[in-house]
Amino acid sequence: MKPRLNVLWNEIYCKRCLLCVEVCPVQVLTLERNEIEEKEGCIRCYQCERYCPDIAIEVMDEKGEK
Amino acid sequence: MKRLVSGNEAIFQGAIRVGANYFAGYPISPTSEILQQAALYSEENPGFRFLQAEDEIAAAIATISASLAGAKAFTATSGPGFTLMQEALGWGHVVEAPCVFVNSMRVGPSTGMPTQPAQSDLLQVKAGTAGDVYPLAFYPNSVEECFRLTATAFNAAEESLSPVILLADAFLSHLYELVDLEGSTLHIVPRTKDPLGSGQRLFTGAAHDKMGNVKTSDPVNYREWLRELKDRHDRVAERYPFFEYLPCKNSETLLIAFGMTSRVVLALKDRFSIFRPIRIYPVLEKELEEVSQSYRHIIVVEGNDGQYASWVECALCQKVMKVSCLGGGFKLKWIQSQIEDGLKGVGR
Amino acid sequence: MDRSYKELLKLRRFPHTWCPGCGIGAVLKNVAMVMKELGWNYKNTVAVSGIGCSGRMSGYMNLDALHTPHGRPLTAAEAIKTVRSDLNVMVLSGDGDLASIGGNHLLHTSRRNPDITVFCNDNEIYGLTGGQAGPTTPQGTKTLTSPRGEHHSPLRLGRILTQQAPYFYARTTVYHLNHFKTCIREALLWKGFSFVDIISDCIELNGRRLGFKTAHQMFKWFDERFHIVEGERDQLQEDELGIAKAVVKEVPRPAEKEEVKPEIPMEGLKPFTLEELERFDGQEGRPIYMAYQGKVYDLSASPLFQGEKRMRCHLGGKDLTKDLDIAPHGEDLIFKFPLVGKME
Ligand SMILES: Cc1ncc(C[n+]2csc(CCOP(=O)(O)OP(=O)(O)O)c2C)c(N)n1
Ligand code: SF4
Ligand code: SF4
Ligand code: SF4
Repeated sequence: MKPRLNVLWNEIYCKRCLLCVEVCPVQVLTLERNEIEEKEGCIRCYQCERYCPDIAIEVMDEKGEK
Repeated sequence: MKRLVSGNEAIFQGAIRVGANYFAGYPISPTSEILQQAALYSEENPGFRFLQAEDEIAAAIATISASLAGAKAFTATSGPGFTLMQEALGWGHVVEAPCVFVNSMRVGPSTGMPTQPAQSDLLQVKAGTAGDVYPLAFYPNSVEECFRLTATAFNAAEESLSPVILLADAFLSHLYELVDLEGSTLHIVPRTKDPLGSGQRLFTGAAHDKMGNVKTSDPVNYREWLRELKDRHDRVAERYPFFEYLPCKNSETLLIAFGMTSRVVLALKDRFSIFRPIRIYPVLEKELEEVSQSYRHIIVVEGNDGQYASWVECALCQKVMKVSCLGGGFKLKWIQSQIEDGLKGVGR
Repeated sequence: MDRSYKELLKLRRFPHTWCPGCGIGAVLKNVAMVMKELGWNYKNTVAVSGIGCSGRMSGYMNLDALHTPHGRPLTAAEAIKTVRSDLNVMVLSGDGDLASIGGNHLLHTSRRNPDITVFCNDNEIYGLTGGQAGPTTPQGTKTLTSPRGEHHSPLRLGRILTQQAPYFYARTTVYHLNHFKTCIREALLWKGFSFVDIISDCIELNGRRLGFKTAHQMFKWFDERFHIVEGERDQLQEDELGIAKAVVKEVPRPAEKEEVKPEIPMEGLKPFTLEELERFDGQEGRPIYMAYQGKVYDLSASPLFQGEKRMRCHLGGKDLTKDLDIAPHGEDLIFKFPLVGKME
């Protein structure tokens, strides 16, 4: 699990399908050098986590915990 | 008390008496009576569950699944239905489901002669499904034996963790004999495997390891698994080396026959020795070898065109004479003349 | 966010086998989530799958799971439920598995209405075998086996499964997540046979050929093709997502059929002697009369008496009271024919 700003990303489970990138309403997720990266501005809507078919991304709560 | 019982009824009663509590089937001659009895029995005994399936594919799958769910399950059919069950049989061996498949044979191929008896599904039993399997199969020749061997088949299934085949034929299914079913006692082997709903196992037809992990490209794992499967079946088979041997003092000829043909050639027991395999699979190779040593001629009399004879040839590494009773005909006279022609070296 | 549903999955086998963006992962995950909410686990639940990419689902469930031959999960599930009515039994499989090779079982298992739930990953293609047309492939779609477009119209599962109450048929997609979960929940709680038709994406072997670059583009396409309908429905149109369901009121088992014997007054009937009766034997165009329990019936219309062969056992112009009492077809049969007189 690799922590990003607001999400935890599991590089082993992730298949780079880009669903999280495309469902994010504020487009803060990107795929860069084969890694999911996160920019400022997450509104913690959980869409990425809900749509990930591989259980590879999890949104942390306000305190930065799981 | 003795009463008149048919082969089909004896099979059903044998199953009930070893604790069978699930039957699935599809109507077909000559085993529809087993299906019908199961239907009635389930109405009167709620603990016994019954499914008239939409086809034999479903009947076979249901039998195996019910077994995995914890039931002592069985099904009954004839050649064409047994063909449809081949897929499930292969699966049953891989998922290790103890259950019994009754195949009462009639003349094939295809619809063939639905009410005429035959013994022509022997190869289908051994090699009808994809891949290598090592099924156990028993073949009675009397109503009393139908009863006992059904119980044996259930017990062997529990021990070998696989579907066991009980063979019969249209003649035997509809044969009525005086037997005392109620007065007989049967040995019962209990279930050892935990039923579904008690773990986190995967029962899959795909090649897998002992943990249930699917392993579809691992030859080493596969070979090990197959060897274990074969060893287990051989071990169980050793407990049931069933055959009947009727030596005739001055005979240089051994007749080999089973099921209904063995009943017919019994009339020749004062002229020829007779060997009747009861366990059809695994083939009684050792026993055949031992018995056949003292004979110059070996003649296999069977209701097909040499299916068991080919196993005998393999076991003995020699050609044997064949008398093929085809199309439902089992007349003693005809069989006798074939034997004599064969022995004279004329005809085939 | 409650992530306890993960204990229902065999995470040690992750990452799972499916392609990037494949909808099957979403089916697995969402079913597990609802199961967790309902308290379903390995102690009370069994999952059954057939063959296909979708058929791999049950193997990832932390339960006793059954992976049947191609097309047979419904039969297996029904048998398990029959033997162990205390267990929850669900089927997770594909459209090809359930509706093509298993089509006959779909008809008959649904007819017998066992209390099982079926999740059909309906990706409108044969995925595992490389992208051939399946039973639900829309007409005109190009696949490996329909290189110029599929010729035939697809099976309308929604119609087949709602033709006779009781039924529960839900159509949803892997994109409409809230709706999807509602359907899963209702289906799992439905008493009887419930079927959830989940429109899902096979991005790798169907989507790309259709021109979609990502799973998300396919999701948008689902959103264009389908819309959600709310409330109680008994049928769904082909473009509707929703739940169609119907129950039948418990009818008490019909009591043993009481024998109704038609009461016909004997007086006023023409009297026959046995000799007179014998003349009505069906020969040379004469009608066929027969006596049964003192009454004379006209059986000319009976198929049993047409032509010579049929007449093997019964003969016209006779008193058949004794014969009928042992014949396989009983008196019910004879009462259907016109009464023409009585015996003297
Ligand atoms: C008896 C049999 N016939 C054919 C196959 C090959 N086969 C494997 S999966 C499959 C199609 C599965 O399609 P579907 O159920 O739609 O699942 P998907 O892969 O699309 O998820 C076929 C034909 C098989 N395994 N067994
Ligand atoms: S949706 Fe999941 S699998 Fe797909 S790219 Fe995002 S994290 Fe990876
Ligand atoms: S939680 Fe919502 S806003 Fe934040 S990264 Fe995920 S999809 Fe984007
Ligand atoms: S082939 Fe299609 S259905 Fe199979 S895993 Fe890939 S995307 Fe999914």
